[in-house]
Amino acid sequence: MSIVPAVIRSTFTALRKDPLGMAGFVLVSLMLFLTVFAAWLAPHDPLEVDVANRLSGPSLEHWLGTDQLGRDVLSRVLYGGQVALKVALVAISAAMAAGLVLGMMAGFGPRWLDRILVISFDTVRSFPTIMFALAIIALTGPSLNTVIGVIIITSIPVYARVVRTQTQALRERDFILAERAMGASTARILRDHVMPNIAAPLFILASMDVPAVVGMEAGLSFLGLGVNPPTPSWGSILNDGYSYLRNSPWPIIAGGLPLIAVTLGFTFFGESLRDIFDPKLRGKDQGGK
Amino acid sequence: MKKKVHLQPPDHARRAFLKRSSLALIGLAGGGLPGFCGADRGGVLHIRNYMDVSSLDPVSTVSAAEGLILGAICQNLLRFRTDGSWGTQLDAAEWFEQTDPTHYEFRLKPGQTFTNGYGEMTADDVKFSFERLVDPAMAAINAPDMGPLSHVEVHDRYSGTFVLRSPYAAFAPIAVAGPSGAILSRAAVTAVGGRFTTQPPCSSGPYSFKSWQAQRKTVVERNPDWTGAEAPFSEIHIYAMPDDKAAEMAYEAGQLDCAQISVETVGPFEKDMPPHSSLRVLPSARNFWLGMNRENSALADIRVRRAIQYGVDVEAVVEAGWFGLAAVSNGPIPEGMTGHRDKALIPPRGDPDRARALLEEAGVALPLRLRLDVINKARDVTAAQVIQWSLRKVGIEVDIHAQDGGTFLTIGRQDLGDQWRDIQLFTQDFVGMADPYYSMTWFISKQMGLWNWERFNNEEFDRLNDLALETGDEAERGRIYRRMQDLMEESGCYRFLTNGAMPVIVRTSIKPAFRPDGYALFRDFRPFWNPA
Amino acid sequence: MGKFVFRRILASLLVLWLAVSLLFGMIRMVPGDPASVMLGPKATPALKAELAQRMGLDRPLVVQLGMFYAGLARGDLGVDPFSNREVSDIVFEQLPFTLALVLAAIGGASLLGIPLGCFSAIRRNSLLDRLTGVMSVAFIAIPSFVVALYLLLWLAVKWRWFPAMGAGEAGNYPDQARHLVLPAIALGLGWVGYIARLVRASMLEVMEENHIRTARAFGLPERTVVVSYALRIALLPTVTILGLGIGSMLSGALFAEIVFSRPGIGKLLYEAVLSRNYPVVMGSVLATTGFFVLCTLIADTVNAVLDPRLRESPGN
Repeated sequence: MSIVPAVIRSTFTALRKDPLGMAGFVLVSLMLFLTVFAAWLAPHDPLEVDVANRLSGPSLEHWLGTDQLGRDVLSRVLYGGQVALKVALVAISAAMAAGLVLGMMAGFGPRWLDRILVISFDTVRSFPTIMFALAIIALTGPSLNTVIGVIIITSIPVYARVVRTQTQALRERDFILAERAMGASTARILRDHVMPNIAAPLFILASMDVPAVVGMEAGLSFLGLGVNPPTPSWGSILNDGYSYLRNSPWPIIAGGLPLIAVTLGFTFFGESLRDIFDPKLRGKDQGGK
Repeated sequence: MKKKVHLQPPDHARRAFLKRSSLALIGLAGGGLPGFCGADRGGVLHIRNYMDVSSLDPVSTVSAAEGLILGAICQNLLRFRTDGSWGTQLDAAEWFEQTDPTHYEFRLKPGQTFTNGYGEMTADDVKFSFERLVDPAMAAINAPDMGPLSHVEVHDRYSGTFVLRSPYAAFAPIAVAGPSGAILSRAAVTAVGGRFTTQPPCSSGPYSFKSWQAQRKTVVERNPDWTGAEAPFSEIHIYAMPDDKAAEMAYEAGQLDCAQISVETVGPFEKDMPPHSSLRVLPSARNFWLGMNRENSALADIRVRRAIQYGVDVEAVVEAGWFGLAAVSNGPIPEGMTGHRDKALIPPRGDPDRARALLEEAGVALPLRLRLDVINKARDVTAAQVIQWSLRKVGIEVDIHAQDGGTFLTIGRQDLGDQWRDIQLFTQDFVGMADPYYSMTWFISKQMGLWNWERFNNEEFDRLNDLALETGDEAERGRIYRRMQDLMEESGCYRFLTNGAMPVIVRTSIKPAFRPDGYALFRDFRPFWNPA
Repeated sequence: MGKFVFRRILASLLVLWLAVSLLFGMIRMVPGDPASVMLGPKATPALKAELAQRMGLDRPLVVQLGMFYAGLARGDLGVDPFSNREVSDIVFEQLPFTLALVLAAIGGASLLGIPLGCFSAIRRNSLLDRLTGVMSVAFIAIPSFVVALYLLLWLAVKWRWFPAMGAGEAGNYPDQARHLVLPAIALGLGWVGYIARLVRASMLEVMEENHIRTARAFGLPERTVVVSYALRIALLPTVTILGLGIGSMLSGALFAEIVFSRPGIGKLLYEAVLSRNYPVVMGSVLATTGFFVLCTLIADTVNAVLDPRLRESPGN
């Protein structure tokens, strides 16, 4: 584990040479900062109703204007980030953890288990994601927790496959065979050899997954199937803005900006990370990213 | 004695009306002279209806939207006036009078015919049309509109008598003039099996039914057999558009000549008026209120309910939800109707201090978490969030459950499961009708498990509801209905919000006609230069 | 080759069958009896009994499953309890709108993306190339419904260049085309870059190959080299990738239909979810999943035809 600082340092060096990756990193850091410190940065209570000032444009008092209840859009956007952050953290960690376990089982376990798991992954992935989400929500009713659950279920196969591929590749390597011959348990092999090797790809996959997860939550909240009013989420801000589109464009403008920032930031940053860490792609000339 | 119900547009509504009318003039000026567009294209009128038709048979109509179409293609003995009052005028009847508390006599105009060759309209057709609604075998959804109607006696070809089991003051405005009183041809309806849904077998009004396309439109055409003044338009296309936004876009695109729009679009339209249009905000007779389920354990203590009543700032709720276009209401009965209450017992702004004191007195652990069920329309969700906000200030945390209309409207039904027990707070609304009876009857104890989601159960209220039907004296009825509304408020189960507002946009080339609650009387629309 | 295709078809059918069974099973995992869940707000005792009889809800689970598959094979997706119409009728009424949208999006994206990719490959590392690269990543990342909202706001509501909602008048093709523009842009924008990148990458590969070098050596003009040989070969992988991406395209189409109030499967599904109309929900999801699996199968097959290496690997 002592190589971590060195890894970080070399990553930064590589990043500095890649303007887009750096831009992505800056965006990501900025969004994280704004979101985590929303409570200190927000000029108003995001829930405070002030009907007299509804749907107003930007002003000194309200930098991004107000929504249909006179609530400060900027504050709501800042707090909305916390919902996105929570969903991303919870969903991705859970999907990654489950994917890790299932992928290792598939890669290292008996053939029949592998077959069953692969078919299950394919089945879940055979549904267009949002349609699957809607089918589940139709049964369980809308709520943020349901949304998180659905995201986890549809993300597990993605992580699991990567882990499975890596595990399978490692399974046949000489040093693994040697360890087995010496009597090392499967669990030990997995822990000591497999996991460190997949840490990097998983991490990269996770950072590339953030835009998709945040986009899913925003999309479902936009459809009214995510957070409950009055909780601000970028998607619900867009939903409100859409309902009152003719009265003021500001909620839509303001609700879309953080989504664009987060998705762009994590994508540029993630692509950059992938180029740095994933040797297979290093040689390929991608030209301008 | 036939009673008349007059409606004076309420002051503020009149002010609003005038304001809109002057804007209407601006609209005229802005769009140039009344343009020859819309209805002049081949004499076809394109108009929006707020819901699709599921049935045009009075036995099974479920919404006012269907009633509006029936008004164009069928005759009633009496129909609504077009002058903005709730009064009625003769339609198919030559005369119609109440001879004693339980008997009404009528005589038809001779020579009126049904379409599709079903011949002349006779008193027997009237008998048929009314009796099928109260016939237990028909299980008519709208049987309650007929009240205590027993049967119809036919004297000769054109005249007869309605016989009621007990007095029913709302008989003329609701049963006779309303959609349930549409006169159908016995021969025609019997020929199709006794009932129908979206294909009426015949018509009898200035327009006749032509076609219906599911979720798109109903078309009615000029009826050549109509004996009165010729219908002004060759066809009326009535588009089913539940979505306000779609209707607004369609109007702007020139596809509609008249449409009800949403309150939030009034501002943008005023700033940027579509060509040749005028905008008006009509008073509405809807009834919006916040209800509380008194049988739910969290709300069983009347002090808690009273605290919620004091906690809700109705002025803010109405301002937010209705963009300042509607007024705070004091009960289900709108201004201008008998029984209207001028003041509620609890002031519209509420009283947060009193609310907090009451919660403390009731010994409730704060914050108190309650669920608020609303329909998932933008306006209702906005209003709900203001309720949530004002209740939060007195220590009550509200979780909003926004649901689709279909689901929402059944949560209080006892026959569909146990979900009605979990109802705590909710906002509801319905359309009123021409008589206060219709606004109040949904709150009687018999309605528990149907529409009375508050489980409001008051003996005096039930008794007064019947009593108010027995007298014809307007002043007396007024007193009774006011007392009933007091009882509702005293029970702590209700916080009245507003009677709403009806913004409507119309082409200047058309002279529209509306009921006092803002719904369109399709039959009476005419082109601007045809003042008939 | 034939064996491969056959195996792939079997695998797809298996997945489809499992997906369908999953949907069938989901409804029975919810608290409450299936009839109440399916009828939702309309669950009166009479309707429940009717539904139970029609679907065999009182029979053993295996029998129900059998009836369900039999119905599917017949094309019977059930009946919509709200309008009493066959779900298959409702679904197939709406499907053409979604297909039109998806085709327009892919078509538009290809029209822009292929030339863009071409130029990027020919003029490597030029400004255009770098810009395309950045833009392609950018637009793939941004959620398509955000793009749709912005397009609606500026181009439709503010500047009125395009209509803001609906599919246009029936039978009036120019009008319908106008109504397709904004949703197709919203849906296809991410794909322009994606296709450009793909074309670029495969062209770069191909342009190094022997027979191209030979053609050049023979003095054939660069243009002929590019268009007649390289592009034609480079296009094929692009086509197969499209098939695989159709899933995300269907999801994006749902949002486009809602933002622009267009009829289509997405809107149908959404409204059915809101009104808890489960038969229609299931019917729409089945139809789209079937379509998706079909596209994936075709894409895989075409891919395999082009690249023999892929045929050997076990269903990865």
